[in-house]
Amino acid sequence: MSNEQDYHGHPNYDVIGLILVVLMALSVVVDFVVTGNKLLSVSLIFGFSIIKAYLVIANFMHLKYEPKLVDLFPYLSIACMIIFFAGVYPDSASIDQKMAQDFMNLEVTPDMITESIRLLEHGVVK
Amino acid sequence: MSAENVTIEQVPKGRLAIWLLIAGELIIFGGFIACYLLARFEYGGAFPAAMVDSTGGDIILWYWGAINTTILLASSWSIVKAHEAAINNELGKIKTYSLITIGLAAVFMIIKLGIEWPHDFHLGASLRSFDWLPTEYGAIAADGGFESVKTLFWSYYFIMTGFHGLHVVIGALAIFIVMLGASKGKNLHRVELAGMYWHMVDLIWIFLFPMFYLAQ
Repeated sequence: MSNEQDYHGHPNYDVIGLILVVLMALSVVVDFVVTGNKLLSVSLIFGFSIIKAYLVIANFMHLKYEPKLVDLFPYLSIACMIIFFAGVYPDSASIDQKMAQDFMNLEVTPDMITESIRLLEHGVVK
Repeated sequence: MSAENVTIEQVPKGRLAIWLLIAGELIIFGGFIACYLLARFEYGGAFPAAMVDSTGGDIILWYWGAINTTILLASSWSIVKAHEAAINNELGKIKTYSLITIGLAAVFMIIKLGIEWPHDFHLGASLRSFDWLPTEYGAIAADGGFESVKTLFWSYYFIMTGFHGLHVVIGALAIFIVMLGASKGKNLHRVELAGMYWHMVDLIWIFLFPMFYLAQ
């Protein structure tokens, strides 16, 4: 491999690998120990995941040694996911509430009962 | 040439291409994860209920996930050591570390397909669609929707872990093909490119593990 291509540094991969395994073990410990506060345990577990992801991207994938423009590749992709989630969640939640309300107000008609019996007789539902 | 002085034009094209591929993969898996989280927030109670069998025991066992996470982290370490060996022209070490990575990938898949998935199906994981009754609004699930939502969880689980498993297989094949040339001193720069793809596979699992095995 030419030096032209290997302009980035090489951190101590053994230490990084060890930190990653320790963080994974901490995630499991948190899941078992912090049982009283769900928000805290979920935040810690996913916080560890974000740190692990950063360590892999920055050190193993050498992103921290690349020009800043290359950062756009992974970080814009992650931003796309966040934008999609943030854009869809409010609509998704309100539609779900409407469906739940409709379900609560549902009046069973004789036709529905007849159809249900027919489906039961034909083994479509159990 | 030091890293501080490098401009985007000087980044090798192969590396940029792999970053572009990784960006596409992250968007695909990011979409999966976003959809899963939407469903998880919508149907809060049914998803954890899907993960226990009729006796209340866990169907998805955290320790298999933890073992597989450790395996992937170890494989990320071994492939980056192969890259280091490629820089130092240590051809024997390239082969050794690449074979370690491929071996770890094989163990990962054996655990996933040979142990975990059969165990999940045996204890009640289901992909069957449930029955629907016609109503004036369209249709309602025959059971009020609870079982259908449980099936939805398993659909997410098998599609996301299955698609990830497919990437493990593709990554291991890529590493094997690159290793054949690199161990003879050919195209050593490809060791890094295959390694970057492999780290992306590891990166995705870093988030799938807590989503499906912890934090319920």
